[in-house]
Amino acid sequence: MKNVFADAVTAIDDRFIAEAAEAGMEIRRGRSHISRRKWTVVPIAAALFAMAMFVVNAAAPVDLGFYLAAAFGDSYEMLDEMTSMPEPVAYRSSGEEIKLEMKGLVGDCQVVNVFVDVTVAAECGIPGEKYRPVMDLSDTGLPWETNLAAYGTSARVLGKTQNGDGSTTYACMLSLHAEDGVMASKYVVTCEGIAGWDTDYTDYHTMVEGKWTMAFSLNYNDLTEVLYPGIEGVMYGTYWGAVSEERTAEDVDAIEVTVDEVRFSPLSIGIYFSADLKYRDFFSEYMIEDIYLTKEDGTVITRRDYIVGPDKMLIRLKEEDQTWAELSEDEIADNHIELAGGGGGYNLREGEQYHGHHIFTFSAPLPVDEIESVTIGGLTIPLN
Amino acid sequence: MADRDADITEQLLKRDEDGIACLHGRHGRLGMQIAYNILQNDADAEECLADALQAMWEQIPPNHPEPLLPYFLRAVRNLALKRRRTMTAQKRSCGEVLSPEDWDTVAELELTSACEDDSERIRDALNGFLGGLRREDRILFVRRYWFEDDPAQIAGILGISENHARVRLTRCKKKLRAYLEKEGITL
Repeated sequence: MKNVFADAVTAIDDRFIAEAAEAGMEIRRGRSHISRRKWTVVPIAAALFAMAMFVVNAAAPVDLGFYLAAAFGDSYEMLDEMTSMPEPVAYRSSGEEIKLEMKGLVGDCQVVNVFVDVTVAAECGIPGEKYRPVMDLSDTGLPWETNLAAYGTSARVLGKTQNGDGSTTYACMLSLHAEDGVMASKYVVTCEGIAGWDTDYTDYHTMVEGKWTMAFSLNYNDLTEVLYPGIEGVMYGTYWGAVSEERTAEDVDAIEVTVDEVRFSPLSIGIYFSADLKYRDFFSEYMIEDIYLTKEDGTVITRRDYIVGPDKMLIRLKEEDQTWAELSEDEIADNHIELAGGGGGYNLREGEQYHGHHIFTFSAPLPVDEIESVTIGGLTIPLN
Repeated sequence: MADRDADITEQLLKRDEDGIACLHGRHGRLGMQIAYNILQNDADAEECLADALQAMWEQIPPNHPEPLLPYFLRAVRNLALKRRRTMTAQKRSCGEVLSPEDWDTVAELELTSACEDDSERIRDALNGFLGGLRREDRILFVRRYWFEDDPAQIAGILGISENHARVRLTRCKKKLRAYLEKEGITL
């Protein structure tokens, strides 16, 4: 079976081979993925006019006050200009038990938060204290449409409301993390069945059969600012891999980097750097844990590990690879930074540098203009 | 020195040996990368590249490839694949030199091991599938399975994480399988 596939690949058309060869040469000529991002993701300067038109015509801010406040706390108004109501694509329901409703979204080029209401009819048997519902949500629309796969999806239940007809509405926030954003891609939320936990919480079984799907295109107002600091320095971190004769502790304590790019919005910050290829083998085991933002008034916003909320899980998100992400009713956190993901790559033989990046999201929106610098792994990068 | 592939082809058609030097200077690095990806050995890859350049000299003329680049890369790849198969089958040590005469044989490699009945259909279906992919996904796919770049290398080309590259490759393969099945081809 594999040989058939491999041999078929041999016959790939010349035009596709030439295209792929040219893609590698772009790196060699210095037109790296970073420069690509400049004109695909960063419409700040050159496309200001286009963005203004986009805001007016396609992604006008919508009132998401309840959701933003629940997700980001009192300073949520800072995000107002970044909100939008995506264009609905399709809605399909096999019954009245479940209703999915898209409320809007807020995003930048690195994270998009989608607000969805899930209403469960009374006849579904809304559980009591010891019998809780579980719904399977599948993001089945994503695989071929977006480059979301970088970090996947996380989700939270922001709150629930008991309606007059006995139904219950859960306000949910799905956070999509991606390296190059998901703008203009299609997103599908599918709810398959409703299941309830056993009373001892050891397992759950299907209570209501059905399938409910909501699809919409992700058009939003990306206000990410991008800086190109070009700062050279040393980034310190923690290396989790093995130290050997070839790889000494001195080698892995610190990485000499050039900070090529910083992407920054009230929602997230991404630091993109390049380093010598000699570091490439251990980047996957190298963790930059120390990051903080310094505001102009001298106050510091630090990072903390993700804190799981109280045990009120009632929805699970079914990922495309059949793994599960749990939605939790999470408490609103204090202002802090959370690691959203990172990665990198290199092009051996065609390039001489490793390109890496670390992305962090903020638990509460941060005023971009008031942030003086970001310090990551001991390396301070001015943001003004 | 010729600065366009068409100029290099013209040089070769005129039996100008500078054409080979220009070809090596312009595309030798990429050819070397493909050969190395397949053979995982610098010495073998260099010999393979030399064989491919020799094959270009032998084949042009009478052939007049347009464009030149995929023709050259295909020669490198086929020679490298043949060398790898030979090494694997006969468990030889590395270092075997292929004569330019092998080129006619290796050019047929793509037809020898595919399913006899389905090879043409698969080839057409695969190219149809690739034509329908987004450019970035198509590059990802071709760099992985034709160039045999590893996901980390592709990540560097596309400016994405290695994990991202792996996930997208998996999705491309699944999509290909579904596409082929739709075309009546079961892998």
